[in-house]
Amino acid sequence: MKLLDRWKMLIGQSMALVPMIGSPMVDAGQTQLASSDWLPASGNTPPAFKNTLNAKDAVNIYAAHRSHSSHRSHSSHYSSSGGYSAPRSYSTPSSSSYTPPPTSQGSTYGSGLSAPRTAAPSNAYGTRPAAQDLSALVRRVQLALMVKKYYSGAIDGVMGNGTRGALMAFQSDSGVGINGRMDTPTLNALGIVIP
Amino acid sequence: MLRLDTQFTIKNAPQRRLFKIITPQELIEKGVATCAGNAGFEDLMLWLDDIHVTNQHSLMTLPVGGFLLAGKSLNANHFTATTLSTPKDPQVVKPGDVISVGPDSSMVRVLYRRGSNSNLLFMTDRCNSLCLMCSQPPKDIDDRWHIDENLKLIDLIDPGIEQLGISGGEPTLYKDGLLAILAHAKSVLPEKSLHILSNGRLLRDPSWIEALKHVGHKKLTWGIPLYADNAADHDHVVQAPGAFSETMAGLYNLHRAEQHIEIRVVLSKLTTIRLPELAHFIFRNLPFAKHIALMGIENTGLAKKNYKELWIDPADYQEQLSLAAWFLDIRGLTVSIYNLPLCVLDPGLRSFYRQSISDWKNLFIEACHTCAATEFCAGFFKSHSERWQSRNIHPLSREDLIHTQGARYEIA
Repeated sequence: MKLLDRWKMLIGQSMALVPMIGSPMVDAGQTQLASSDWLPASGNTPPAFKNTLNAKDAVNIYAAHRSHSSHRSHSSHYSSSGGYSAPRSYSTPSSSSYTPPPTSQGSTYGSGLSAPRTAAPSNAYGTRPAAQDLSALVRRVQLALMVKKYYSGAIDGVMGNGTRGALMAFQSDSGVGINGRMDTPTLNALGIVIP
Repeated sequence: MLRLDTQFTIKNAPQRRLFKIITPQELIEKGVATCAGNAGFEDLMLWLDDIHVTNQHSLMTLPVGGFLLAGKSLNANHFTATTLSTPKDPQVVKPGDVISVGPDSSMVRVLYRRGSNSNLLFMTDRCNSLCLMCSQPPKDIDDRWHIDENLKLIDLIDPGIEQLGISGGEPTLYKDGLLAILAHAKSVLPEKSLHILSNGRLLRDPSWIEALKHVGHKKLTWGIPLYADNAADHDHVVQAPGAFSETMAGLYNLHRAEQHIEIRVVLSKLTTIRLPELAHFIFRNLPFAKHIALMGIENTGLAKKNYKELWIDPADYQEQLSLAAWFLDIRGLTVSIYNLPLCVLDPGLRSFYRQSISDWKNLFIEACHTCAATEFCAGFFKSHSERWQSRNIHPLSREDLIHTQGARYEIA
């Protein structure tokens, strides 16, 4: 067979495929093949790899050759992948708005552990701080006054006369309003971040 | 290399407890907000230095859980609070760390080290595999107390973005505990990414899918080891029949649960022979893996015992390593090479190289003194010994670095 004949055969075979183009089967995607009645629940199906290497949205590794500097951010300390992203657009099989039911796991550890920090209710919202939070703050103020050598008494969390006197002395020296109260300018001057 | 434990003189420690070390300055500034989660003064241990000697008496009226007397001129008399003094190594415990103190031992363990690259939630000493090169051979004990310890530890850790590891043992053995820890970490430390090391075998149970989706931690990566492209070889390395299929089923379940997956391969004589085939297998069957880590062996634990079966000079597997790494890389999978000295690595592979050995167990040897690359090199594990040393160890010059591939050297 001559080379020309081979070419003719090849073209002929390709032409035979033309009627198929445009039919739904040509893409052979899952959507055409699967009907909802036999497709198992999405959560438990094996992963379906829709992305072939020549899919439209696949990254062309030759066109987008990664320069060496693209590895710059890859210095890993703890042996792991923190922050890697594969240069590939693989999309997981669509999980059709599936929401897992709130199953009780029978866990002994679940109850109340994950509650976020109970923020001390701040005065800005019109509520008074809990007594415990207040005394913790007074202790921090006493500690700060002690480090700054205004206070030498016990760090007991009680705003007594000794603490108030020390606080007013500090307020007077640092040019904030002398009122003996733990207001924001005073706490700022003491270096106390609230809450 | 800085150890994670040291001895103290301990007073008043009736039961084992965790403490967050805090300086008076930080206590003034941030209070208990220095801890990421719920914490009270009783969880804090005040760090007192020699500069605090004049105020020591008043400072020790603070109702904190304990005092760490770092200064030598302080005296350790307190009626009730836990008091630590005279550390054997004063570098080990520092402000910001979380430590564990108990009545049974004068050893104080650091569970969280501020600013470290390798903080870990240790889950258990138990394991359902017995890998030939296990660096930390499992113990068959009931150590569920780790679960509560870790839940407390999460509360006391610094907020911030560094990564936390979760390891063991096999962390999935305590399923409820692990899920509780993941959920708690998500709520208290949402900005920290987590990295779990698991053999994935128990994850073959599909109930994990629901459970992990329910937790929904977005910054969680599973590091799962796979040692061969066939069951016989993999099962031999992990010394557990059936492990290969269980791990594969576990990997698919993780993907169903939309988890980030990293495949880890420890490089030994057993795993490097068919490394290119393994790369092919991963690409074919686990193309959803976010990261493939090819890792030098840690010469400690069971690895020492199985030296003959495991040891291969890294110089002798550079070709297979190169084939596997590039095979995966050109197909778009992210590859890293860990735990090998830089000078042993094929220079063409340096773009995959990561400085990977945890800071508390890496070191450099004599040959490294004149090397220009130690700043970029993972070095050796602290357990390093001569029979585990490649014949190719040699100091690199600045010229070597300039003419090599890899991001960090091209500026020179």
